[in-house]
Amino acid sequence: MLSSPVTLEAPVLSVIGTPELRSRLEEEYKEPLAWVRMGYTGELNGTVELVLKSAEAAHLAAVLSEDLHPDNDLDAVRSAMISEVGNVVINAVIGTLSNSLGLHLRFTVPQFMEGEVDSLLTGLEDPELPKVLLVRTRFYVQTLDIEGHILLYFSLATFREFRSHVKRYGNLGSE
Amino acid sequence: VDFSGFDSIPIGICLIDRDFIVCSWNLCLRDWTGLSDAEVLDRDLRDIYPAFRRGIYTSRLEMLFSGGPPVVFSPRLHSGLFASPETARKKHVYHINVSPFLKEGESLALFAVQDISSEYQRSRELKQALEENRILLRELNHRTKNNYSMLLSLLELQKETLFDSRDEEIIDILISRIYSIQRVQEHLALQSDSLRILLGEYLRNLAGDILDSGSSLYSPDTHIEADAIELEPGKAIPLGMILAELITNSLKHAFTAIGGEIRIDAEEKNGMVTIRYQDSGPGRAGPPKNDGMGLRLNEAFAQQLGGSFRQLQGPGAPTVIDFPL
Repeated sequence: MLSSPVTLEAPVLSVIGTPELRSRLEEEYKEPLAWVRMGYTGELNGTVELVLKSAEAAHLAAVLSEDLHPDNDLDAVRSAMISEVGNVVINAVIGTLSNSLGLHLRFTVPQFMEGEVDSLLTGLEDPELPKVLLVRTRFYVQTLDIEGHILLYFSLATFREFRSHVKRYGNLGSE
Repeated sequence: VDFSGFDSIPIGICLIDRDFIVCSWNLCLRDWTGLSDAEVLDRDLRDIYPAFRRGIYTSRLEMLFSGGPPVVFSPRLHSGLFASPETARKKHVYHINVSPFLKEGESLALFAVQDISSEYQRSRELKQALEENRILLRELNHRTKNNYSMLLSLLELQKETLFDSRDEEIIDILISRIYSIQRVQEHLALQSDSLRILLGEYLRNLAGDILDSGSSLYSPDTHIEADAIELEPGKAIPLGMILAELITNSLKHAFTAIGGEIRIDAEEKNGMVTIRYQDSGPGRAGPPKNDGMGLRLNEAFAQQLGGSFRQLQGPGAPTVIDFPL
């Protein structure tokens, strides 16, 4: 992609409800956020997001575009670049997940957004989307060390489906 | 399959199969690239645009053909894709989304090519204008700083030619007031990304300037405690004027020997700032004179802050300034 590898550190996973997600994100992020969102349907339904601090996203874009006078604002061109980085990271994570679990999913194109935690969670605190797989990871692009979160939202029905796929994968044989 | 419907879509559409053979090339792409259907259809996209031979494209598109998620190619990182002809007057800048597209059970890749040339151009112009403004502001700050220094030097020179010590006091007060304005300007010049001034740092610098200016024989210790309060410049200047006046008065009246002390405490509660000023002197002999120039000025500056200025009785000539943030 960027002529430089994106390296993901071993992630820390937790499955939580959306109210807990709000309090965790509000505790962690006091500053504006930037995120790339992709929806998915098929054997599972939900949304996947890569969340970064807005200033770190701007820094990342500045380094990738070799911008000599970076600022903290993301213009259209730099937002597109962050969309691409998000797309690569999400595709790598989702690609591995769906290949390992043998899932067939269809995805929407990535959308880039900016705002506070409130905007991030808008429309996602639906009672039908009660479970979130929160993946906290650190990733490196070139010499940059950037920490971000990958959020995987599932609808209630498909979360059970996801759990059974994971159990099958882990040969736990719950079904 | 008839793909002519793509011609009515206002973005570029290109469809390729797993072997990179072009199946559809819509009107927008014909217009932007100058390549006709005959020049493109049924040809390998990699022969038309050799950049697509690079591993970063083949590997990402391979994932898509195998049922993976859509792929984004952003303009800054992939400027050569679907390039305009050399002779074109307008060079297009594209943001490209590639999504899977199923045709009769066959998996194709659909390139949705969005022309963002005008946004790109606007963004470049804005960036250039911002850089020019930064240079101008730096130059302006530099000149303003020089002007303040020149003004202070002129006043210092003027002091040497005076015969009456009372005139010297007036010039000292003027010098300390200029310092307070200069400090605000320096804070703003240093914090180019913020128009707020950190109160604690501002008070420490201001007191330091006045005490180091050599206008007094005494150099009292200063103790400044301030909550994390940020002021807008419109408030910092009148507050600086009041404190410059108070410090000058302390230097003039409070101390009779080395070892004095000036204490300034600033706290914020419910949007109100309270500043308490006190020195280690004996205090005023009587109530403050209402007709004093200094007092009238301080009351006027407090009014400018939308607050109050109170001088209390007792040792240390305690003074309280209240104002809303």
